[in-house]
Amino acid sequence: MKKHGFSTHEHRRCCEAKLGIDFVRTGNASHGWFKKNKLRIRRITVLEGKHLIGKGLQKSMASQLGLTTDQFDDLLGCSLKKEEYEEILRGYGMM
Amino acid sequence: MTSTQKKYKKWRSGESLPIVTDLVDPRPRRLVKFLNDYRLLSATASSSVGYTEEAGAALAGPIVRVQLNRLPHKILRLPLDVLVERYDQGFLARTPDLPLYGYGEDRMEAIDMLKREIESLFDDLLENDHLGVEWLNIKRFLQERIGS
Repeated sequence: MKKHGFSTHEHRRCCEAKLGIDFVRTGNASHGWFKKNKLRIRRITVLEGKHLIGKGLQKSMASQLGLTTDQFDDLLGCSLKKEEYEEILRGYGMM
Repeated sequence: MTSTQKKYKKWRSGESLPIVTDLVDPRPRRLVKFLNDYRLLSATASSSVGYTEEAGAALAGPIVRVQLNRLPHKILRLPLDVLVERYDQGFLARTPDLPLYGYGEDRMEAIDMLKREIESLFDDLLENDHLGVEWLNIKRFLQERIGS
């Protein structure tokens, strides 16, 4: 069953673990790059803290990674793997 | 007793019916605060705030369009369009030109975060040459807009 709502902490942890993104803190947020062969492909910003992220914010974060909200949910919910993510980016011509 | 007070006294006693503007100056004493409080401000001071709001934008609907004039440490040669809308429990500021967002409990906080994001992205892009085509275009776009 799909989980409803993920915290900022979970977003960050998922991006670090699954996509290998290293975050750098700037003010009340952190940003990191998704890289492939040292080439910077996508940049994502995650708010600091552990509060739940609403739909609006999640949509913005998903679009930063080049995903729809549903695909981003799958990424957070572990059903979307890194290889599948790369395939999606290739499909959109982002890689 | 000033002439206004005299007129007011006369009016209270029912002797005459003076023109209202003669009695009390209808203009609010703290104009900017008044306009802000009633969301009527058409343009905020760009020098202090770093953005200007489109005329009547606050009354137009849930999405407010503002123009960024400067970043925390840099000046913009050309203003950047920003859309601010209420989302969840806060405000979300986005610019159609860049894949960035700012989030805050109020509009100003969201815009401030977006400004920091733009500056940090610009610094990132200047420091690195291993960029995809999309980011090379964004780098060129920002170099045209951002001054030192």
